[in-house]
Amino acid sequence: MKPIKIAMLSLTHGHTRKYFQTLNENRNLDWVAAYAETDKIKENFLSYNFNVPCYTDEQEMWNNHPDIEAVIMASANNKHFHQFKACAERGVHVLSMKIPSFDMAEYEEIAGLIKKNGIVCQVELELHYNPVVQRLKEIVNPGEFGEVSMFNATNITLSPVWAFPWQGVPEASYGKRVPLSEGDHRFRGGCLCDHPHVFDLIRWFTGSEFEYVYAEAGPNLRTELEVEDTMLINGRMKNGAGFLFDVSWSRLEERLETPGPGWEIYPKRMEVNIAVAGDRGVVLTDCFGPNVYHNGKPNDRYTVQYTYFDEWIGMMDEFVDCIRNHKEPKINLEWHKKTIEAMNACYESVSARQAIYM
Amino acid sequence: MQIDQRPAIKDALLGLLKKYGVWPSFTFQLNREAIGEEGLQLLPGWEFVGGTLNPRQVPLLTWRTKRPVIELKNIVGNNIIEDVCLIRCCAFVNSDWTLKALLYREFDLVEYIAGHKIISLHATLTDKRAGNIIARLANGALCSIEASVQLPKGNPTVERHELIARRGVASDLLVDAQTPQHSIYYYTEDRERRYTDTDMELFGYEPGEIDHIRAAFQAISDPSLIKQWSAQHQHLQDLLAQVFASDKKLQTLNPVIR
Repeated sequence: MKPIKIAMLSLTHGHTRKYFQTLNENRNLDWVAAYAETDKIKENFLSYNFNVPCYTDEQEMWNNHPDIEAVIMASANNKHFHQFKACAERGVHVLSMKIPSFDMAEYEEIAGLIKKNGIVCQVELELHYNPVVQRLKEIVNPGEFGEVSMFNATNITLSPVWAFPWQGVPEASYGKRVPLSEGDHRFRGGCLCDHPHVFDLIRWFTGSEFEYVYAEAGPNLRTELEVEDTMLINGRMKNGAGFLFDVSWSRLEERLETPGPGWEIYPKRMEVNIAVAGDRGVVLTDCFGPNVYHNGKPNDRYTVQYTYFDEWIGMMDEFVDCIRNHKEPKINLEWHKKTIEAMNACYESVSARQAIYM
Repeated sequence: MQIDQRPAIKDALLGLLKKYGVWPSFTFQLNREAIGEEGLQLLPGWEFVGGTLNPRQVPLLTWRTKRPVIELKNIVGNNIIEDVCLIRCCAFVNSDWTLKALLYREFDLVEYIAGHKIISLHATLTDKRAGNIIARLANGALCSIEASVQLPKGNPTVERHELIARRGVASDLLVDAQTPQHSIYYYTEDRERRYTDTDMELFGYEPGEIDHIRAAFQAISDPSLIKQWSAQHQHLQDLLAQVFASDKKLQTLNPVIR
């Protein structure tokens, strides 16, 4: 297979670094360029010594590399629309970060651009390529497990805002400045926007769509943020399964500008745990175990050290396969739309202080 | 009837080699029974314990490919913890294992993670089914290894590898816990099941098979490892000989460092 000439855009997303190794090692990818939004980001990128040209002018990158076939759109949510247009005009395939847009009119326009230009758009929901999730999917199959009565999940992390400031800016994260609720000084755009996985997984596992959602934002742990950093959601799927989601940034962090060792204050920086109850029994799942543990440098704090992040390998393999063999990705814009609608409904629920029926 | 998975292991390895564009510079086999066939025999090192390696036998140190082992080695090697003084290991497995095979693995894990050879040991063994070793590493660190092959079948391996340093402790076991964590616990009326999947590219293979495939992939990708691992195999055999001698003589013995 001819390797796909690929570039990365912006390098401002928290997942940027996780692609580096895959892009460098996957022989079906030819990593030809990167666009960094600032000199500082460029300098940081160059320190990895990937020997990939890096530009601070997006247009210059396009001009110098007209052969780019695909991009990883590793940018703030409010940059996506403009970048989708630039890619569509050039017939460049897109691996989009988790939130193409929260503005559903804009979302539809993006979907139209993708269709009109015949390009592949895959949304980065990497847990579909996680071996623990794969095992859970096998266990929770209707023939074996019966009806799911409860699907509860955490997607809780530290807050990335100190390293990736756009995630704390309502316009950059949510797309516009919308108060959380009347009388609340905070705005949409915080932890909920960072954690779509649980909304996606319940749809995938139950084969059902949301009937209603009810959400509340708690007081902020980080009082200086103007977006929410705690939120709980419950509700029901159309097939009757109930759920409870915790999407909070509830693990405190050192305020590092570049993520690295010592980022954690709480020992574990990230958790996606899923509890499923059904006719056959109960399953408890930690999507990122088993780990190792230490209390060494730099802060001598007890720390959970993750042992693998394979998701990016399978996800990029699918992206390549879709481009070369003209396939539709599993996580395409059509599938993902209902996840974004549910997340928007959560914000509406916080504002209205009542359940929102879909 | 037992289904032989081994041909599938080789298929999985060939798939990985193709995916990553690695072209083997030699022919190879992954199963012990392929003795009459051509090529190198790539097998876990403990399969060759007890004899002298012939030129076709390649001892794979398969446990080194486990993700927790890689991370523990990184924690020590990158000086996240500094000046390791004490190492506490245990491994309780079922009788599919021999005590020799288990100690072979544990000795290698200790040396690999710590980055130093064992220079002395004192062993107390019971009926070739259980053993306790106190060992000293070349950097002066003291090490205990508890090993038993008496875990009833059907139970997951219980193991712990803990490194205690002047600055920091690292372990593959959670604080305040006696048993390893699993990714999934599935409770049904008949029983509790546990799953620990860590490799999406080799999803569906048993953990031991995954380690075997990954180690063979490493050896084929980097044939210089074959010489290195063969030398370590000889050293581990020396350590095993000293273990049994120490138990018999009730003495602390000093293995020859090759």
